[in-house]
Amino acid sequence: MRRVDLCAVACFCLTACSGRIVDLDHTPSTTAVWHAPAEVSQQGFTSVWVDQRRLYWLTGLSSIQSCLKADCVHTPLIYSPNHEPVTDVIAAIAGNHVYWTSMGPTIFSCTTDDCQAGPVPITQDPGLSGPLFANGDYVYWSSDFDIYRCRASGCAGPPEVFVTSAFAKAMVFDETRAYWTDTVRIMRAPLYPEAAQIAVEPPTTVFEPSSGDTAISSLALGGGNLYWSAHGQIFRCPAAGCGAFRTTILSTKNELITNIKLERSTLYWVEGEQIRSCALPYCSQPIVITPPKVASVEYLRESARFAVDADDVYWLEARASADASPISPALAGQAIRRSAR
Amino acid sequence: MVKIRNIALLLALSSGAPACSAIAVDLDATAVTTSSEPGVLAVAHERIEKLAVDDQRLYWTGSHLRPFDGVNVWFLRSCRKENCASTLVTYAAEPTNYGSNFSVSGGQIYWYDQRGLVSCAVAGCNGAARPVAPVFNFVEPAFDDDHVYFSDFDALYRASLSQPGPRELVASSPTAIRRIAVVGAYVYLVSENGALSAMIGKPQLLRVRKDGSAAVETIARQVNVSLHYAFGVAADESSIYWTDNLIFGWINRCPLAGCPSSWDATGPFRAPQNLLLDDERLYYQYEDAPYEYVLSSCSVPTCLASAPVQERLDAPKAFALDDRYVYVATTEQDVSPATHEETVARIRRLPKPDPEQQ
Repeated sequence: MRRVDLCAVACFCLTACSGRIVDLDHTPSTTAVWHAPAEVSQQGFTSVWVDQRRLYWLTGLSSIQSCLKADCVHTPLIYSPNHEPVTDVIAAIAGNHVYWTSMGPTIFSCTTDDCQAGPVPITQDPGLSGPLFANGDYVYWSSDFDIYRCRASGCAGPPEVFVTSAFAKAMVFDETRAYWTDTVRIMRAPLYPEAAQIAVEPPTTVFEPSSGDTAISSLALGGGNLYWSAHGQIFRCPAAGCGAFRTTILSTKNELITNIKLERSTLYWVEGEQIRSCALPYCSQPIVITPPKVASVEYLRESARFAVDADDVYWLEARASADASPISPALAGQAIRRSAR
Repeated sequence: MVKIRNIALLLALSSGAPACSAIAVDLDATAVTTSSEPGVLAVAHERIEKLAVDDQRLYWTGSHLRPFDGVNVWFLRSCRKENCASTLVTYAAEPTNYGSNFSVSGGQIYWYDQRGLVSCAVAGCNGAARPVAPVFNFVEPAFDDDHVYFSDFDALYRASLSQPGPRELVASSPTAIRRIAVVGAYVYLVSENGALSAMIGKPQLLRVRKDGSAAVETIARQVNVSLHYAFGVAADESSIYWTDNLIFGWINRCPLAGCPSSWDATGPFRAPQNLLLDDERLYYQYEDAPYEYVLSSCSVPTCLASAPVQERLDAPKAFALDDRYVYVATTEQDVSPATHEETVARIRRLPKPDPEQQ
């Protein structure tokens, strides 16, 4: 087991840091070993992301930070040191840029490896609602009525309208299209390579629910299929569209399924307080990846309770109820743990 | 209320004034100073949020941080266009901002505070504003010369400015009223659409005669009007103009009789909010970048975008028109909510754009 104490990394705004633990175990997933941290984080962790090189996290005081996966303790990077912490910050990472919101709300960006020159203000949009999404050089978000996007370098004037009369609770991308859900339907639209002030090609419905369907909470894309969670079920539909005829690939009795993610041909999700996975296309034998200690941070706007890369699953470990800190959300994770896929 | 000391009486003499009038002047106020810069009528040491003019005077609402406790104090003031600094009158200074709209009519200035609609003589009332009528201000009320129009979300009411009495019902609305604007003989309403779909329902634009004598008319069934920014509407004999007040915004024009399925629009602009129609010229404000307000104008009805009239407005409503000039309040400072520095605004008088200019 290898542990990285992130106090040295992340205690920039604390007078007394009692230690944030990133547990970088490479324990085989079949054992999914979980270890209690030596110390309890004061800020806590409320989201975690990963890309090929870096591990990113959002603290309970809404600071966006990262480190290199290969040497986390020596490579701390804080992207938002000069901004007042807010509790509803939302963030996205793609294309060598990290994006987040601050008061206003203003959307900021930094390159993932360097933020010394300070965050770049992308735009300010009081109509922003729901999460940020990132793909390529763009950040996407839902505003009052439409989904907008701006390049990482910022939009001085109006943003680009990606699609009108739409709201995205979740959005995923392939090379040519974006797919999103407003919690009821799943839609798709082409990714224009250059600025298009108004999307001239109307969005297409991928999945139109029949009455009685429950709200879609998360979305994943891979192998030409869309996967989504709704209450205690996971469904599949060809990305080209399926009307109302989706395939149920997993169904639980009572537990909520959220945060589905797809890495290669394996599907991951949070079920209750555990991360589970299954091999596609049949998902016939789900396995448990973590102990029932995944932090319940759903009270935040859009939290990323775990992240997956080619080798590992990174997840927010719940704090014991008695460990609630007066300065962090009680449900924020006390540590980021790593378990082999 | 602001403590006004050294009240003096000033005989306000003006060639355009019908008679001399007594003006209470805030002599020791340092809120406004003079400037020798060409075209600058006054330098206000506060944020100017809305500017208005009549024949003799400038009026504005503004705010500034009180230095001893950091409270943001809201002001309503006026001064003569000439000699502004020495003719300053402060009508209200409140630690709470109840809205920026006010009206001047019949020698009185009207605004609203926690008591509802209140008034004061334009000459000043030594901080003792007179309650006129209870007014809901959940939605920013709107004025014409005779009435204030206000809503409790479910209905539109009006109350007389000059004759206190019960409110009159102008119109009921089956959906929540979100914006009110008075233009000509009509009150324009932005109300929620009865057929809202999840998260993306767009409001509708309606109008009703100010006296409620006719049924509510639908101008447009779906408009891109946000609750996050102020909304501008204007009308002439043939058309109605309004702002899509989004960060990807437009200025729209429709026939007064109602909008077809598509209509003329100028833009895009970032967050256009305020409109003023002056004969055949439409003045509109938008953001060049977040919190950087620009005033521009165009010739109607085509309204092709033109060069800015003034950049660095102090606020979206910090401009006004009289017969000859455009009045603007400008600042070189950051006016975003993140700033905590004292704002210095210059009230400028500009010639109107060439009528031949598009």
